[in-house]
Amino acid sequence: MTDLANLFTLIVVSLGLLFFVAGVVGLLRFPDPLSRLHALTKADALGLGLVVIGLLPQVSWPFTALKLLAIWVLMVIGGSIAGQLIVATQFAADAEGNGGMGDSDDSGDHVAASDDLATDDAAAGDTAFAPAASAAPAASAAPATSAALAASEATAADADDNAAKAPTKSATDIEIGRLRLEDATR
Amino acid sequence: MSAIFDLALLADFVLAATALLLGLWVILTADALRAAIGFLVYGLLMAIVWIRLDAPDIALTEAAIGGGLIGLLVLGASTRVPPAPATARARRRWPLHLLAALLSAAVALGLAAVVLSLPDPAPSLAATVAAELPATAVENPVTAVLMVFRAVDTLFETVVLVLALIAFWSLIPDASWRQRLAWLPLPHPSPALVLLAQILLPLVILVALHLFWIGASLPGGKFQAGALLAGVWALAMVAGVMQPPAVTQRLPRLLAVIGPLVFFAIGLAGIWLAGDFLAYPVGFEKPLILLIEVVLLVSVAVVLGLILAGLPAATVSLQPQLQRAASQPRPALPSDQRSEPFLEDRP
Repeated sequence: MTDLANLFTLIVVSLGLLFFVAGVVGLLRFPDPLSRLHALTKADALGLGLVVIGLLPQVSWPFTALKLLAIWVLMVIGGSIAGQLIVATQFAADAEGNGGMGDSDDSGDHVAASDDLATDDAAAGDTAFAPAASAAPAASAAPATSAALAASEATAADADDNAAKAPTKSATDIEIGRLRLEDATR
Repeated sequence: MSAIFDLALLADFVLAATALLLGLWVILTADALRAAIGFLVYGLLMAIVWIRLDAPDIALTEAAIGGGLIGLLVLGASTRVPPAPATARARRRWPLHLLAALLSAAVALGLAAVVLSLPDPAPSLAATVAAELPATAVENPVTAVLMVFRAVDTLFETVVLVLALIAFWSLIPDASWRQRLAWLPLPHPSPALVLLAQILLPLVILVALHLFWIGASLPGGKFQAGALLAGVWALAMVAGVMQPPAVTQRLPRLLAVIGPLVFFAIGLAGIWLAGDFLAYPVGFEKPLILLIEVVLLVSVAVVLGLILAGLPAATVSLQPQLQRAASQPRPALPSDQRSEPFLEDRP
């Protein structure tokens, strides 16, 4: 029985880590902030959920298990709302006409370009917005670039991609963005 | 399998390397906002490091204060300080940077030398604390040290917190003394943020009370719980769910000092009742420690929250000129929409 539980944990937690890897790859490879965010938040919620489910057989019922589930629920709430806030900021930045946080690869507005670590600038800046759990795997999982994962995530991200490319250059468009956000929150 | 391939050791190595590299990056990066965000992540990494060192009490404090509150303060400061002017001045300051680096390296190497030259086993009072623990009526040795054996340290730590608040408030210009603290509230908080604050407010209060209560027997206690409460108070103020207070209001001031006051009074009473300053009368240890912890919890939460709440908006604003002068594009945070950097506005 414990062997079975261990096997379950091993498989489900590994599956969860796979989602984290997918999220990190998406974060590093996707072109614009909205699709990066899409990859990150989905992978976070699913990955952490699988890790929590995988750990459930290993902990004592009910209190530790319920705490784990509560952590997951809170992370989902926090992560998705943080995503909403970043998107709202991005809409505002687009409307203002500066690139916002998305185009840091080519906008050249960072003096840091001269230092060695600056190549990681964009990625590190965005990772910081993610919930803490994703920061740690990011360090170790980053080199494991998997084209297949990136491709599967890319198709899913198309919807957000289009939304990002829609012209949002005027004040009315910010209003539309805000209304959209309000709808999404309800 | 030799110990070198130990998985835990490997994880520790990755963790240490990440912390070092991130620290280096935070120092070297030129953009203040990015450095602030990096520092926030660094605080969370340090919390994991403390967990790996089997110090969960410190890890909790580091996560709440080092990662959360200080991160928020540094983030706020980085969006208010105008970006550094171009490189000419920075280049002239390289000897200063070199000196700072050398001194820091000397401190680090000195500490490493001390730690590595400790005898094995290292001198420790842990056994003495464990032997005397039953007399203190608490089960968590860290709490016992903080509240009983080294109570005088804890007392003056809380006094330092109040002093920090006074020093911070002394930056407020006379003209805006009576206004509400205005750094945190957003002019138009996103509905998602309001929702988050509404969800988290009761939950975090519950978690903080839990953390406070288990502090008697498990890692936790008033500082960690107070930092959590301060953090969620700040979130509520950002989202407009709660109004920030004004400096002139009596209640926040009273709550900020009540902890050290009660602690000091009980300590003084100990001279008569138990024969020494900060000694607890036999049989009353537990209720007295609990009373002190409750009032300290309130004071820690209020002082940290008031520091996070910042300063009142300045009445005379130089904002337009400043913005034109500092119109370098940078990643926009919601806090950028707020106005009035306070330092430049002082007469």
